[in-house]
Amino acid sequence: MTSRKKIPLNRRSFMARSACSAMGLTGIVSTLAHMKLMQGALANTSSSLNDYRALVVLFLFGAKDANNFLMPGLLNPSRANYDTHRGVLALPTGGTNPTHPIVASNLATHPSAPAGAEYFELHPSLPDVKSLFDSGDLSIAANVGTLVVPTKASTYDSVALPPQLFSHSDQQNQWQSSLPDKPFQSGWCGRIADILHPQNTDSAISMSVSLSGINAIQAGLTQVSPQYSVTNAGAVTLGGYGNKYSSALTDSQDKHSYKSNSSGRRLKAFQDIMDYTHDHLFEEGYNNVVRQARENEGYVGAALEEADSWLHPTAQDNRGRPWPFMTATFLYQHGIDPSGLNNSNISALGALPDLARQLLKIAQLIAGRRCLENKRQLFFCSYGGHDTHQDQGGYSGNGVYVPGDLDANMAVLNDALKAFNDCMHALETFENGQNDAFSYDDFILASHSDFNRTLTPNGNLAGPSGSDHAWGTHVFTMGGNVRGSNVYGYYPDLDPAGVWTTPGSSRGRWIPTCSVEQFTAPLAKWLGVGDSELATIFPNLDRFSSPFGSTYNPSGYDSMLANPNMDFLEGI
Amino acid sequence: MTNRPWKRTSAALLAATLVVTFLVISGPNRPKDEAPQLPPGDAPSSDHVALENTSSQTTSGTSGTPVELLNEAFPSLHPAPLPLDFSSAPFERQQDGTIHKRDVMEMLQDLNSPEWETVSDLQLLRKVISVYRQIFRQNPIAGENREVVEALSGKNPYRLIFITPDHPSVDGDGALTDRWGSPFRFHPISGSLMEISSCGPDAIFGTPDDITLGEDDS
Repeated sequence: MTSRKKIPLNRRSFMARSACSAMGLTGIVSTLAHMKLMQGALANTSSSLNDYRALVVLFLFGAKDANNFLMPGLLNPSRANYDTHRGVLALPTGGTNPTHPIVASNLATHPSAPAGAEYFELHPSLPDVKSLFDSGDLSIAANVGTLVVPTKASTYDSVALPPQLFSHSDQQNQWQSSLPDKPFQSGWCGRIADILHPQNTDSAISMSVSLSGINAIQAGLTQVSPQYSVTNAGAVTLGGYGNKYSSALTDSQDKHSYKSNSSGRRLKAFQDIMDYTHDHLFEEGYNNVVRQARENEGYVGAALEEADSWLHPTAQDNRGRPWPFMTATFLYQHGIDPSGLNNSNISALGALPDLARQLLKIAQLIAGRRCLENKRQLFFCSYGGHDTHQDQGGYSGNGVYVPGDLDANMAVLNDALKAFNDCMHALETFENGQNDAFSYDDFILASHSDFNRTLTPNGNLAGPSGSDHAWGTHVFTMGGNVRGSNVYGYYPDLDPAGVWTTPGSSRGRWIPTCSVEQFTAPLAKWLGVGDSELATIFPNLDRFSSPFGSTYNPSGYDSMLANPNMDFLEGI
Repeated sequence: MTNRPWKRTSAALLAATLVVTFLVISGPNRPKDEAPQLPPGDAPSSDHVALENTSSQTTSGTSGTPVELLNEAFPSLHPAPLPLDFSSAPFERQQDGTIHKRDVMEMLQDLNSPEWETVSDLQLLRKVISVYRQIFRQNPIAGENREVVEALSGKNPYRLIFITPDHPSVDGDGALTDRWGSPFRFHPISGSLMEISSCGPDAIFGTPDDITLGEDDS
């Protein structure tokens, strides 16, 4: 029998062992990740950010039908397959509900592009998006999706695929994390904030602002920039005191201007309690949260007031008072007459769709950015209801178009994007000559969605039919540094039995030729993330061909994977 | 200068822990998640093997030059299935290496029974998906009805069969159909949440006679 030597356990050895035990495998992995992030952050602090840049991520939840967002034009080689396989969902280029033709400049001039590859059509409800594309403000990236490794039909059954490939929740999370092969820990925007926020040296609030509640994409590994939620009506305020504390305060920007009524006395009492310091850590922590929230309210309120001080030259409300420029711009775009509304009534904006109100608030926060004092700002907004398994909209057998949910969704998207873009152009003009004036180049809006939908419909009746879950989708970017009027990536051949689709399926589920990180890494670099930090934010990027400076080579699937054609941004 | 052996001991312990951890993280023989405990003689299915065989995947890196992916087995891609003893009921080993889950197969004999109503069929399917999830710790990875049937008929890590393709409710396209002959709709909300629908007697989804049963974690 082996004898065991008894080791005396004194206080020091106990502490040393405990420390080592506490730093178990998980802890060390996590710590190393944090250390790496912090190193990146520290390396960056030597350089200061002088310009302003805002990235807006718009997530179209539910999986937008990208096959009817961007369609092949009549001369496009994919058109025959579209007409053959789209069934009742196929949208003709003419008739009473015509699609909108666009020409991709980059493909029109590229010697490798097949004849007609530059011709596309946009959904009938996207007339203004066509204008944005034509004017060079917007570009589209085709066939982007979650990937663990580069994948093609011949390797589909042998390589690692994103877990739960066709489930909404999983794919939404994987788009937001850009790490499909890892359990969710953080979003790619959150990791950008981890690194860049320390450079927002005079920051008043977090650089991660969400108009769509707590989300995955802005979840960071550290807490240097926790996401801050703003509703489409502004900052979240304490309840029970009226709009902007109008029941309790005489001046919403002066938190001590209490009215001498019960609401004023109640708010004062609450504020007094919050101003106490507490010995108990939890009590003090709770108070700090409330104090910080009240301070953030003030900053956001000031930013919105600054934005609203920019008045529209002609729009007046029903009492003859001028409307704020941005609000009036959104109302006009949505066909709402501002002169019929009372601009002091918050419900006056209720006629705007939720997406429009989110983008309006983001536009206002950009206009009031000096109050927030962030050189880099990440905004998140979303628009749901794209899961069109039925009632998508299509043509009946007698050639009559039956409108559906996709038509309504695209109309909302069209108007919100146009109004937002108009505000960004106008803001540049308005601030021209000012110190730190806004430039149209200072923002980019990028879209995400769970996945694409099947090319083939799930029925043959125009009314109830729709499309089901697929994979590679088409996304868009908008802004001054976007190389607009182009279609990046590779547009599928739309053959449900071809090399673009998942083997075994006859529905038309395109295998992405571009991974999420190949699409998002240029956005991170545009924000100022250094080359050395890109691998921290996108650990899987090295598995794929570099998007930076990537060219177009459609000669085969391998050549497309090697040349992702994702050079869609200037100035990076 | 005071001699402090505990410091050296602590530092050595910490250094050793870090070195071991680094080797565990970066080494080629990284331990995988707990492997499913297959019965002796049983090999994992081709699906399972496919996950393990990604080591030779070659891609291009950001430099534009090809890089050999390291011995990545993506251990966190899929949860490890529940360890099971296949030597006794309700499991029944077949000569082709598949294993019948006899209790579920018997349950599914009642699918679309004339004595039942559609909602009972949906509840039965919900139960089957739930059993699948309990074993494989996630729902079938499927965007189409056909893929759900494939997962239930052996295309899974244990080659476990819940339904055979010759079941009277599986049509010629490999889809599980309702009592009116229309394929059920399996709608994956998440890895643990699957809505199941029948389009009803009119055989058209999107009409008032559709019947949908949400399936939740419980």
